[in-house]
Amino acid sequence: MKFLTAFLFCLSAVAEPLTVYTYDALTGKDSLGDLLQTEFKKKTGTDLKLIPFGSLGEALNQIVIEGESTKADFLLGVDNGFARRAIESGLFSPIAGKFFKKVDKDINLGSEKVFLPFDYSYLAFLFNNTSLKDKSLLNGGMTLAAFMTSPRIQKKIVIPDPRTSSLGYLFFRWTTEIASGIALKELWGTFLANLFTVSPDWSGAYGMFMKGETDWVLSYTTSRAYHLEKEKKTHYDYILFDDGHVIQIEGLAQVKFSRKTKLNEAFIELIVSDKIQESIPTMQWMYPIRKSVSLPASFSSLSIPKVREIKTDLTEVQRKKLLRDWSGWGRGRP
Amino acid sequence: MNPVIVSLFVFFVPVVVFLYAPILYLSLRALDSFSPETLSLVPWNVIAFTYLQASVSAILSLVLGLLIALFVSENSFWGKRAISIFCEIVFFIPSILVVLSLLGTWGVQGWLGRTFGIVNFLGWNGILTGHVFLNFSLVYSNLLQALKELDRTEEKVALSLGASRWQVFREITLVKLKSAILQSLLLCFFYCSSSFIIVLMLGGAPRFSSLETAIYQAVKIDLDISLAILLAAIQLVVCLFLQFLRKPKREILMSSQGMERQTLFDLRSQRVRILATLIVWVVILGLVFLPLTHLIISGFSGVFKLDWWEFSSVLIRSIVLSFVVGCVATFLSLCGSYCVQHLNNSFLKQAVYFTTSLPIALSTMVTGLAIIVTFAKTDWFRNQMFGVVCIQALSILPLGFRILNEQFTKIELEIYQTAQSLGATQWQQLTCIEFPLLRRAISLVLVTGVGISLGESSSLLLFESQGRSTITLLLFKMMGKYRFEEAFTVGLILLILTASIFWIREKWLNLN
Repeated sequence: MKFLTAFLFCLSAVAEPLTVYTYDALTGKDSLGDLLQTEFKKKTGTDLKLIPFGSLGEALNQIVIEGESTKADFLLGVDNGFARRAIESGLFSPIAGKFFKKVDKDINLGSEKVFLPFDYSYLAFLFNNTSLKDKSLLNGGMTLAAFMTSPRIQKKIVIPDPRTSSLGYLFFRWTTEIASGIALKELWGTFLANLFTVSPDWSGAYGMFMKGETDWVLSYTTSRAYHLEKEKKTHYDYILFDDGHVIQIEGLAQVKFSRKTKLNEAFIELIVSDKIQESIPTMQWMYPIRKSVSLPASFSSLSIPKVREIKTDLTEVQRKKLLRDWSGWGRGRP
Repeated sequence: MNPVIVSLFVFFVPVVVFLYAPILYLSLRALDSFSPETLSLVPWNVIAFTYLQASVSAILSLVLGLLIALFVSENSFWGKRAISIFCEIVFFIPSILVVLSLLGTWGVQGWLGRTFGIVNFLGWNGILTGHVFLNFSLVYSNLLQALKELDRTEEKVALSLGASRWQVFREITLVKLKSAILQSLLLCFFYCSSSFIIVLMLGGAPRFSSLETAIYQAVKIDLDISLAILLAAIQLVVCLFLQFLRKPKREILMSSQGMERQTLFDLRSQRVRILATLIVWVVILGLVFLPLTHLIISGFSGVFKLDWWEFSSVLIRSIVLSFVVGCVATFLSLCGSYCVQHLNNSFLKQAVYFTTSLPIALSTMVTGLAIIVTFAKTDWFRNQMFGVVCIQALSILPLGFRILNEQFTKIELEIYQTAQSLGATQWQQLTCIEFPLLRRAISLVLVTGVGISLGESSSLLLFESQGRSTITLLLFKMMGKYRFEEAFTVGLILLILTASIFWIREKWLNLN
C-alpha cells in the first residue's frame, strides 16, 4: 500500500509540471524559454511547461478568464508598460525580497515587489545605414518629438501597435512623457501620417524593416548587437535622442493561486541565476539585470543613451481611454 | 417516434442553445448596459469608417461586377470562358489567401507594387482591393444569371420602334435588373461591413479599424467585454436591418427561362470591343490571376524553411476540425430541410426558413461574442474548439439548407404516394427513398462545409487557445511575423486543399 501511495505521489509529481504563460517570442527552439526548460528540468527533475500567447496581454487575459482555476503558475515577460495593468488585475502575489537582491537597484518594476526583473534594454529607432538615403537626421541634436514630426521619415517608418504590443505601448507612454493634451494629439497626428504602418507586434515590424520596406523601425539599442554578433553587419544602427530613451524592463510575476511553493522558488531562483543571466545577451538580445554579468564584445560597442523615466502612472481606465483616443488621432490625414 | 418530430427537435435544440439564446442574451446585456455613459465609449470614428469603407467597397464591386457581367453576357471575345473561370475561382478562395496573394503582388515589396512604385498598399488601397477581389465575382455571377434569364421582348419592341440601344438599356433593361443589382449591392455591403481579416491585415494604421476588428480587440486584447457587447449590438442592428431589406426576388427574373437568348447590347465597333476585352483582361489579371500565380510560384520558396513536423500536426487538426464542422452543418441542414418538406404547420416552417437565413445576417464576431458571454463560465468554449464548430457550422447552415431543400423538392410526389400505398412508414421513406436520392446533395453540403471551414479564420482567431493552431491560424501568425516565405508555402497548400474540395464540388454540381 505504501509503495502504491509513493508511486502515485511520484506519478502526480511527474505529471504536474510548472506552467508559465508568456508571449511567443520567448518560446521555441534555441530561445530563452528553451534554455529555461532544460535548466529547470536539470535542477528539479520537473518539466517546465511554457504556454505561448500572441501577446502578453492575451496571456494575462487568459489568467483573468481562468481565475482561481488557472493552470498558470507564472506570467513571464511582464514589462514596465504592462506592470500597472497586471497589478490592477490582482492576480499576482509578491515575490520574496531575497530574490531582488540579485537585481541591480536601478532596475526595478515597482515598489510592490510583484515583478522580478530578468532583462532590460533601451527603446530606439533603428535604421539601415546602407539604404538610408537622407542621413541629415543623424547629425546630432535630435529629440524624439523632432524625429517624430520630421518629414524626412515620411512613410519610411514602422512601429508595433501600442494596442497589441508591449513595446508599442511603452513607446506610446514615452511620448506621453514629452507631450500631453492637444500637443500629444498633434505629435501623434503628424507621426501617424509619417508612418508606413503599425504592425501587431515587434517581429512583424522588424520583419518589414529587414525586408527593406521601411528605413526605420522601433526596436531596442541591443538589436544592433544582434546584427554585429550574429551577422557581422555593422550597418544597422540607432539614432540617439538628446532628451533620453525609455527603458523596457521585463519581469516575472507569480500567480497568487499557484501552490507549488518549492518549484516556484526554484524557478524564480533560476531566472536570476548566473547561467540564465549570462545567456540573456545572446538569447534575448537584452541586457542582464546585473551589471556584474559579463557581456559579449558586440554589447560593449553600443552607446548607452540617457535614460528617460516614465514618471506618470496610468490606471487601466486611463490607459484604455488614451489608446481609444490614439486610434482616432490619425484620421483625416493623408 | 415520428421522424419529423425528431428532426424538428434535433434542428431546434442546438439552434436555440447556440444561436438564439446567445444572441438574445447579448442583446439583453447590451440593453442593460445602455446609458449615456456607455454611449460616450462608442468609437464613432470606427463606426463611420466601417460603413464608409463598406459602401465604397460595395459600389466598386458592383460597378466592376456589373460591367464584366454585361460585357461577358452580350459579347463574344477571346478568353471569355477563362474570364468566367477566374470569376468563379474567387468564390472558394479564403480571405486570408486573398490578403497573402495581394500583399505578395501589390505590396511595397511585391513585384507589381515595385513596378508601379506603390509607396503603401496598406490602408484604403488594401482594404478596397481586398473587398473588390472577394465581392466582384458575387455581383458578376448574380447579374450574369439575371441577364441570362431576362425576358427581352420589351427591349426588342422598343428597338423596333426606333429607341436607341442606350435608351432601351437605361429605361428597360436596367429597370428589370434593379432588384438583382440592389440585392447584390446589399450583399456586398453586408460582407464588407462584417469583413474581418481583410481590414485587420490590410488596414495597417489604427484609423483603419472597423467594428469587427474593434470587437476582436476588445475581447482578445483589452478584455473589455462591455465595450465589445456595445459594438456587437450596433453591428447586430445594422446587419439585421440589411437582412430585412435583402429579400431575393428571383421570380421577376425567371420569366423567360428556356427561351432563346439574343444579345442586344453587344459592342459593335471592333476597336471598342478589343479595347473592352483588354480592359477586362487587365482587371482580371491584376486582381486575380497575377496575385494567385504569385502565390503559387512563391509557395515553393519556403519549402525548406517550413517546419513540416509542426505543419503536419496543424494540418491534421485543421482537417479534423473542418470535417467535424462539415458533419454538424450537414446534419443541421438535413434536419432543417426535412422539417420544411414534411411539416404541415406553416408557422414552424417559417421558423425553420427564418432560422436558416439568420446566420447570413450575423457576423462571426457578433455570434462569437454572443457565445463567449453566454457560456463565459464554461471552459469548453474557450479552451476547446467547441465555439469554432458552433460558429462555422451555423455560418454554413444557410447554404447547406438551400442545397438540400432544393433537392428535397425535386423528389417526385408519386414516389411518396407509391411508398405510402405500399405501407411504408415515414422512417422507411426517409431511409429507403430520401436518403438514397439525397446522397449526392448530402455529400455536396459536407464537402462545401469542409471547404469553407478549412479557409475560415475569424472564429479561430476569436476562440484561439494556446497550442491549438490550425492552418489558417498558422498562416496568420506567419504573416504577422513577416515570415512570408513559409507563409506562401502554407498558403499554397491551403489553396490546393480548398481548390481540390471545390473542384470535387463543381464536378458533383455538374453531375446533378
